[in-house]
Amino acid sequence: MIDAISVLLVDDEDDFVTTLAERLELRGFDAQVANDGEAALASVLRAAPQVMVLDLKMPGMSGLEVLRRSLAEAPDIRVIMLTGHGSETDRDEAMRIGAYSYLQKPVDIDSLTSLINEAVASTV
Amino acid sequence: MSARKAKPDCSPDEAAHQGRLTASATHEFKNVLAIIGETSGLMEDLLDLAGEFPHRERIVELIGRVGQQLERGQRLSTWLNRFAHLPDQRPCVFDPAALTAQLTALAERPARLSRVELRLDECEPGQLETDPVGLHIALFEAMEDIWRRLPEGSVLHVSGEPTAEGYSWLLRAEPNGNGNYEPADEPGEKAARACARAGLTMERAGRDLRLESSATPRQGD
Repeated sequence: MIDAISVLLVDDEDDFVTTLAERLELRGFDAQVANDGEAALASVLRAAPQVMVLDLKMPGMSGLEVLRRSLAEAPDIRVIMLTGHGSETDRDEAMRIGAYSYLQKPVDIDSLTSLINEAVASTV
Repeated sequence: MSARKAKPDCSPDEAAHQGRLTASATHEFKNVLAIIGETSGLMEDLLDLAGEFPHRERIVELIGRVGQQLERGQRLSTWLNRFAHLPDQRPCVFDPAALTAQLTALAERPARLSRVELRLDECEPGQLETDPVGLHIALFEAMEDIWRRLPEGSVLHVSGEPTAEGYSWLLRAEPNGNGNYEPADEPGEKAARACARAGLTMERAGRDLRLESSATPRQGD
C-alpha cells in the first residue's frame, strides 16, 4: 500500500484551509492545517510534511519568512506559495528563496493536486 | 464656479492612502471569494459521492451559478487591486495597454448605467513614463464624455497602439439605431481639463476621438 502524500496547508483564513484540507483528503491526501507561521514551522519539524501550500501574507511571520525557515529545517520539503494578489517582486523573491511554485487564488483543485504530485515526484 | 464649490484635487498622499486601503480590501475580497469557492467545490465533491436524490440537478445548476459569479468577482477584484496600486509610483514607466484594459473593465459598469456598452478592442502593448493616475482620470473622462452623449444601446469601442512619440488611443462611437448621435464639436470641460493635465492631445475625426500621449520613457532610465 502506498502512503498518502502528506500536505501542510498554511493560511490564516481557517475556513479556507480546513475546507481545502477536506477536499484534498477526499482525493487521498493526508492534509494538515496551520493558521500562522509559528504553527507551520512547528508542524514541519514534528510531522515532516512532503509538501507545504503556503499563504504569502499572514499576520505575524510572513509567508516568505516561513518559506526560508522551513527550507533551512527541512530542505526536501516542496513549498507551493498560494496568494491572493502577489506582486511580481513577491513571486521572484519566493522563487529565489526556493519555492517550488507560485500560484494565485483561486486555484483549481485538480491543478493543485497535479502540482502536489509533481512536487513530490521531483524529490525522488 | 466659485472657489467654495470647486472640488479640491486629490493630493498624492490622499491618493496613496486610498489606494493602500483599497488594495488591502481587495486582498480580503480574494480571501472571501476563495472560501466561497472552496466551500462550493466541497459541496460539489460531496454531491459526486451522494448518488441520486431529489433536486440533485437543480443543486448542480446552482453550484454552477456560484462558480460563474465567483469568476466575475475574481476578475473585478483583480482589476480593482491593480487600480488601487496605481498611486504607488507617480510618475512611473508602465504599459498603457494594461492600464487601458484595467480601466475599461472598471468603467464597464458606469457605461452600462448609461446603457452603453464599453468594448475593449485591440490594444497593443507599449510604454509610457508619466503619472498613471492622471492618465487614468483623463481616459475615463474622455470615455464618459462620449458615452453620456450616445443613445441607449450604443457601443463605445476603445483601442490603442504605440506611436513613434508615445501611445495613441482611439475612442470609436457606434451609435444605436438611426444614428441620432452627433458628436460635440468640443469635448466637455471635465474631459478637456483632465486630458490637458495628463498631457494628452485630443483630435476629433467624425465620430471618433483620438487621444495621444508623447510621454515616452526617458532614455537611460
